[in-house]
Amino acid sequence: MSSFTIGLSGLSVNQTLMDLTGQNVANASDPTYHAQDAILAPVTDGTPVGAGVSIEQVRRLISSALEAALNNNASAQSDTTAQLRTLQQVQSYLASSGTTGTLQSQLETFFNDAQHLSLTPDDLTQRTVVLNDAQTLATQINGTSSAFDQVNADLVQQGGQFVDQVNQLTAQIATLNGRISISPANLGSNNALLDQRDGAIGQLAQLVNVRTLDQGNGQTSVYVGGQPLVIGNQSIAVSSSVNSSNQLVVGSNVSSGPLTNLGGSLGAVLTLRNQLVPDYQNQLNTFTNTLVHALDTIQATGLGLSGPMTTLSSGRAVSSTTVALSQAGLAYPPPAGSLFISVTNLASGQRSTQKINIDPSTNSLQDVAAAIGGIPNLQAVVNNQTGTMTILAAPGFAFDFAGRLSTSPDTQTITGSAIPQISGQYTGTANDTFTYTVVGSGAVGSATNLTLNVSNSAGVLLGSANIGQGYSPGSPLPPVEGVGIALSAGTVNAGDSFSVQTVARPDSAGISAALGLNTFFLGDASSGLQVNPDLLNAPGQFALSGSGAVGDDTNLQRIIALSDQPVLAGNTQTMSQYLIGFLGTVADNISNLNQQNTAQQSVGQTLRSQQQTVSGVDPNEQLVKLLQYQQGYQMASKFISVVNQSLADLFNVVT
Amino acid sequence: MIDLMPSAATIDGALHRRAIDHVELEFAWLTAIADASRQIRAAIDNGGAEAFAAALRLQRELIRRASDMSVQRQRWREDVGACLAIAPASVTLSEVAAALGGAAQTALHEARDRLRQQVQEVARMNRASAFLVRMHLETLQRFFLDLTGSGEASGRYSRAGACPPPTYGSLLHTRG
Repeated sequence: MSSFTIGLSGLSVNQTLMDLTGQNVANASDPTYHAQDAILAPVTDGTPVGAGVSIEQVRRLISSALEAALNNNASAQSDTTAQLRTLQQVQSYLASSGTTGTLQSQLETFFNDAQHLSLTPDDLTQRTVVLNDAQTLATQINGTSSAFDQVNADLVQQGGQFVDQVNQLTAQIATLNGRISISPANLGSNNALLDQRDGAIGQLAQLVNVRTLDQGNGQTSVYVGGQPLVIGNQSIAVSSSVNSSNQLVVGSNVSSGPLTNLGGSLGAVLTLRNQLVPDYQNQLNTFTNTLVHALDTIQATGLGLSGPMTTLSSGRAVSSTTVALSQAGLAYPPPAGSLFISVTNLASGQRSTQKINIDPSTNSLQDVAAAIGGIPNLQAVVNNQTGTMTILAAPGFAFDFAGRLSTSPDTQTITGSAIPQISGQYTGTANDTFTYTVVGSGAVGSATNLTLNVSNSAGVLLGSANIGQGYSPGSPLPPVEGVGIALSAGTVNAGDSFSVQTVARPDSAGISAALGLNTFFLGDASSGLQVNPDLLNAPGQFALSGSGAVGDDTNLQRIIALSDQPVLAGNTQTMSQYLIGFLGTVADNISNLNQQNTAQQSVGQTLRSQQQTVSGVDPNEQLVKLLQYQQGYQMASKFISVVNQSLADLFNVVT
Repeated sequence: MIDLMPSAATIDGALHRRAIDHVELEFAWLTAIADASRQIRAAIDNGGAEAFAAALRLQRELIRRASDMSVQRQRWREDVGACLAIAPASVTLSEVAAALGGAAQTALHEARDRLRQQVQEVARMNRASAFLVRMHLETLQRFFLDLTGSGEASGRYSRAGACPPPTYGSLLHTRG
């Protein structure tokens, strides 16, 4: 080999090294770039002096383990970042809604104004204030519910976009895999492709948690959740959809089921769409259902300023009037229980309270109507088209669901001539039946040792009162748990008895709330909750009374008491506490994610720092190296010049 | 050490001795230059920074010796010029040989020819080194121009994987 060729080989090698150094410096700011160096090898041609030098390989300075750790970190960080972004959005919805504050503060406003209303329960203006508070609360609930729906829709759309990006990247990786070929004599021509491919894997790792497998030929297979997305030069497309369980899922043609443990931004979308946001929605729905059911039941089982009703239509429709109520698509399906209906003779004031039992698993709206229609002086008509029911009282009669005491005993076995009359308002906490039994015989108000015992359905003696000598016939006996009895003049005999149904829970079935019978609200959170327009239009119908007596605000007190009752979370939290806990849950989730995200950032920084020591380029170091080369060449240049001068002198000598 | 013929009795022994000594000195000087050139060439060829630095240290030493060598050469020419009664600038080995005559003349002619051949060889090496160094300096200069934005952008490896060839071209690419 000629000295010229040997020299040229060195020149070429050195030029490549210079190119490498320049390339390393030029790409120092490119995070996907891996620094490169050259492995040199002497060229041998059998002569002792050799044939120069060649570049055996231009290799990327890369650590597979470190790259995998960085990809994992990128996935985890993208996951928490994406979750944080959405949860902070949710928190902003919950933290404030316009100028009305939070749900919890609006709930407090409602209860506070209800408390204020108790001072003047018949005041229509103050009633309107409370009703408007409730309407504002309903609007906030609707707004929050809509916001959750929008978040869910956005997440589905975002998931689709991420899936598209995943498919683009896996196709890109597969294409690059196909272009990558390793040959022993390569001069780094594939390094750019390898960097590009690894960069695409890095981008993919932000979307999904990838596992890579080096195929040994320079190609890398990519797996997500144990399923292949890239094998060699083939990519497997994924798609997203919402399944029948309303879950957003991602699947591929080759996977039998949805991909799991996706991680990354796409995994975050699935976690948010399938777990966190539905959980928040459930909490909001639980609160809403409790509030609606409680206020609806209170309203339905009370009396407005105009007393009992002569006609009433249900405000919540069933999907079918003939199917069981539990299957009738009601937003607030009723539990099994009973409904007490009082029918009042408007002329005489006599009232009879009847109980109908309702089993939603078997009873349809038609069945309920039939049962109501079985009560004297009542008629219930079902509209099969609208899925609603209208209750009509016979002329001269009115009805209510307040569970008021019948004015006459519901059952009686009296052999004498005295007539019992019932009054008052039951103050007990459970539905019961009081039985009154006469001890002794004789004329009411004159006989000696004539008493009336009262006991509950468990046989417990609740009280005993003298109805003989000393008792003024027709005057009320001391009430027992609010139930007053008066016996007219006449006779009674030992063993005579009569019974009265005492009602603390007139609608244990919750049928009034389920069907929207004289309810406080109409609709629901999903379709739009609103205060019953009938109440807003006629605040006098706001049923604040439990007895219908003038000045009675028993029902309003039930509303006020609701603010302090632990009705949620297994009867451990008030509605206000539940909302605070709800907000706290979101805040806790955000706090946890923030902590994770911060830790992930720290780990990522450490990993990138380690990567720099392996793959990265220190521009200062590289530039210093180049400057040293330049100075060296300048020094060599000076030497050459000096030698040239010296040789010129010498030429003069040797001529 | 150059193997020279012994001086003849008929020639001026001192002049002959002085010429032969100087030829030996020039040979040593050329040998040192050749060694240094080979060393820097090998360092450049092999891309070794440490070897390159060592070669540069040797060159610095030789640059200092070049000055001494120039002084010694000038002094020799002045001395010989005075002896032959000619101007120092006209002193050459051929002139000295012509003054000596006989076997000494022949021996000095042979020494002159070998020295001339060595000078030509070192000059070739020096030209090759000059070419090599010039190419590297040009490459560096273009790189720095490129890096500072003073020259046309080239050779930058983009995120998309494209690596356009430098505008000045790579010698490796040129070689094909």
